[in-house]
Amino acid sequence: MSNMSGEIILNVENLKVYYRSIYGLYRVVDGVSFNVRKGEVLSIAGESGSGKSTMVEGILRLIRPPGYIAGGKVYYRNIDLLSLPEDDLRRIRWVKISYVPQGSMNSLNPVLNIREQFIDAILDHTTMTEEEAVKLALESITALGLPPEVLRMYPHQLSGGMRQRVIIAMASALKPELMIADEPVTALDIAMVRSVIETFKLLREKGVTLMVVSHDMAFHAELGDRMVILYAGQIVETGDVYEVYSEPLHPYTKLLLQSIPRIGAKELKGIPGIAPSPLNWPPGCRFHPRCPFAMDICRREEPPEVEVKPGRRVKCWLYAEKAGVISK
Amino acid sequence: MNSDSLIEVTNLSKVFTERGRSINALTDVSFKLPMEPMVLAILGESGAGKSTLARIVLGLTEPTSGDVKYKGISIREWLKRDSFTFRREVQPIFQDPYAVYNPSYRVDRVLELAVKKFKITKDRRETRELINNVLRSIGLRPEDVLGRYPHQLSGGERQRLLIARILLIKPKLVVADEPVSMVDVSVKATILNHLRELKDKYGASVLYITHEIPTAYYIADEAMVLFYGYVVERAPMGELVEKPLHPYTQELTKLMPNPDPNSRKSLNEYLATLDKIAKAAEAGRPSKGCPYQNRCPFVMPKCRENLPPLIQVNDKHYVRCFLYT
Amino acid sequence: MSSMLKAISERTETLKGIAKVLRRNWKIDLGLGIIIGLAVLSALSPIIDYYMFGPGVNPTAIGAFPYLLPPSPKHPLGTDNWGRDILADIIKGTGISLEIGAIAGAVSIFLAILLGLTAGYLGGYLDTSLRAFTDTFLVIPSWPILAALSAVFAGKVNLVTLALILSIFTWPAAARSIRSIALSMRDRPFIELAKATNLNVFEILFMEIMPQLAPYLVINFNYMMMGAIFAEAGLRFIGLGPPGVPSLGLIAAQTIGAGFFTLRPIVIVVEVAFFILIFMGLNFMNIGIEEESNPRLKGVTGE
Repeated sequence: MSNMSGEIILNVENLKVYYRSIYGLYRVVDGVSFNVRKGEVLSIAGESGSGKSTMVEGILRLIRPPGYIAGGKVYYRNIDLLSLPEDDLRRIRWVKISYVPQGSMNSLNPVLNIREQFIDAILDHTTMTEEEAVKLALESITALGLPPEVLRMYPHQLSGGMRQRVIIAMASALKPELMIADEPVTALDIAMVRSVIETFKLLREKGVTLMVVSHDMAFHAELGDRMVILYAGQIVETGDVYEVYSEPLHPYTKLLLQSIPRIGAKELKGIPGIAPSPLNWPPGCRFHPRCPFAMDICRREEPPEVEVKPGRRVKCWLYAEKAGVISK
Repeated sequence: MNSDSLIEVTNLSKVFTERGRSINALTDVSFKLPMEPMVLAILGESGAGKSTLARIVLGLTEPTSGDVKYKGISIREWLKRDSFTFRREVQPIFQDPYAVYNPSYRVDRVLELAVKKFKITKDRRETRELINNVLRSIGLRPEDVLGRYPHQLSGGERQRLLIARILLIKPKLVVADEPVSMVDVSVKATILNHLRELKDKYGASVLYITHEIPTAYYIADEAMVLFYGYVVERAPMGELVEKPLHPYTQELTKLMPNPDPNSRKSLNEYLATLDKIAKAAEAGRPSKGCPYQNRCPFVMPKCRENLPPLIQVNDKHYVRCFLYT
Repeated sequence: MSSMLKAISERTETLKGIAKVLRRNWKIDLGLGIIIGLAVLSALSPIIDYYMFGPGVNPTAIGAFPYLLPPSPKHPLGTDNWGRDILADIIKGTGISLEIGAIAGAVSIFLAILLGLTAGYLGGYLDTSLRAFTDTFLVIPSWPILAALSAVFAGKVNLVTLALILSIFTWPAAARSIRSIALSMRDRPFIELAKATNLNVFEILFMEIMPQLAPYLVINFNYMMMGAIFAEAGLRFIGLGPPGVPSLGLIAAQTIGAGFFTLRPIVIVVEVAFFILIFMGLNFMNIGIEEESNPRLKGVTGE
């Protein structure tokens, strides 16, 4: 079960990331607020166009023009990440907060073996000697259950899953407090996905806090403690993973869960319609064009975020009458 | 010309040679698809040979040895004498919803070209109408998707357009190679439903290639498991998942991510298996004996010496494993 | 009738697409502008001559003016030791060099498509034999042979023949480049889908691959053009090449040979500047086209 009492180490408040283009303004991330507690695995779920990857890039200040951070705050412990000078930010990256970007398993240098790349990465971010770096590399590799022989190998000799685990080992080498991974299991098959899941579990056991972004709902079911569901640049539901899966509140979450292929499912329903564009979010509740429960008010006014019980939030008019309203 | 099988694959092998090294992508694969519409799932991990098999059945690659017959005639003959009919009756759905479109053209072309090359309608007006109708029938509004370039549509929309293309052509056999692995969850379900419909409503057979077992479970009647290019098990879909016989199939069903948080297992459940897999990957393909020997929890000395034969265990269930001889 | 309309609309599509690219990529505009500018300048030289020197005067004819006149408003670079207006020579020579380059480029591309595209796409024995053929040409030392040919056929070669001879040595590189691109496209999913739609080889080569190949064809054309122009210039500097084809290379060689380096260095500077302009023009175009052809940054949102 999730750790409701753990201290908050990352706090995101009303973050907005927009992109300017000749066609108009893309409001890709449009006011998301959530926090990450020490020791937990926070699952960020959502499909293409939901803004989840951009949100992570925003948090890490990796947004490049024509994108820009249009508002909000991001606090790592008490440090305001968004207004930190570049040098200080660089010191936090990798050492305190490490990042495994999308497709990173394909970004390994094909002409260097793993050991060399690992050491390069370590030496880039610390003042260790090469000897110490080698020791650290070996430690990180074996701590995640990878055989030490991996260091001798070249990327093309390893399977996709192994490469991903190597990247995770590199990202965890300097013992960060928080690791953020973006789509770590896309394009991997069963055994590889399983090995990445177990690798993350190992990391969690060692006390690393994880924030994992993925559209793979089975992956989140295996790993997450708490989760956040993104739709159209906003968070539509937050809560403990077990609760969200067993009793989803938001219609989008319900339909999403009903679409997951699983053994024993006789009927799978997709979600009708197409995901909206950040250029032109629908008025009112952004999900209303596709929602089977859409009411009149949904078409006109954006719903408030309602805290149905501590830690359990949903942005939907169906719940607005009950409980306390948090924000709009 | 008549036969009792839609597809008959006999002792199919495909060897790729690259810079002097040869890779046995497929070895001695044999199976049949009956004339009655059926969905056969081809399961396996990457490197198992699934895509190679797909491309051979589609007539895009030639086998190194063995034969593939469509309606009793070898594909080679079909392509030589009557590629029009073969192509119209055997159609693909590929995995990557972007790479399948020529970026120089609008997406309409993929649909229009199919209609034109297979002479489905008489004139342009009829073509337009037919395309619009088919799009609407799968829940897409023509004005939302036509006239766009591939990069202007989402992956889900592009893949659904490929379904529309299939519905325009109305083939007898659809070879779908990982059609939903690069697509969002909500669209996955939609496309899987269309694939089911292809059989139920349109009487087509589907060869469904995937590594995601739950999706195969949803649409397939039977499934065939490949490992390092060998068929290691074949059975009706439900039976394969509920009572897998081959140790590899058992491994797959055990390792599958489960979308129910309540069935989470502890870390240690998997570590031994994952360790074995890593070591086996390092050792590479075995040069003799059973291809699964390095990962198998039940490996015996004779597994390293001889290749187990594919034997029939009961009606429609086949396994390639010495545990069952 | 409707198919003709369709063909026309597809052409306008392409033209509209090209216009869009021209509007947004300054490098292509600059490069194209330079080359077209030089070509137009040279083409308009009869009109310039008329204004500068009056009707019926050919400033590049031997003895048109007094020898070795210093620079003046009428002859901005003066005249050479044969009484020709040097600037006029340079401008016309540039046009001729561009023509030589363009013909050599066109022939190279034609052969590259014929031999490279087919070899790359079809593979097999055809590929192996065509590659052997192409590689032979690549390996033959072009310099000595060009020199020998020039020496043998000195007077009897005209512009076109000269260009053709040069193209013998520029086409293999283009063919190789086109071949490797065709090879990389062969197994792409959209080609497989085309095959599954019963398109035959020609339809695939011309309707599927060509549009994708187009930018590379232009790039290669430009490279071949550059190669031919500079090879021709090189030949001139060792005294070879037909005297009847007054290319920029010939002018440059003659002026250097006549001692203008010390006598009137500005002339050499201007000649070199024109060479640099040709080089810059073609290169900028290529850089711009390469930028455009690179897989576009995935949609703004990058989801």
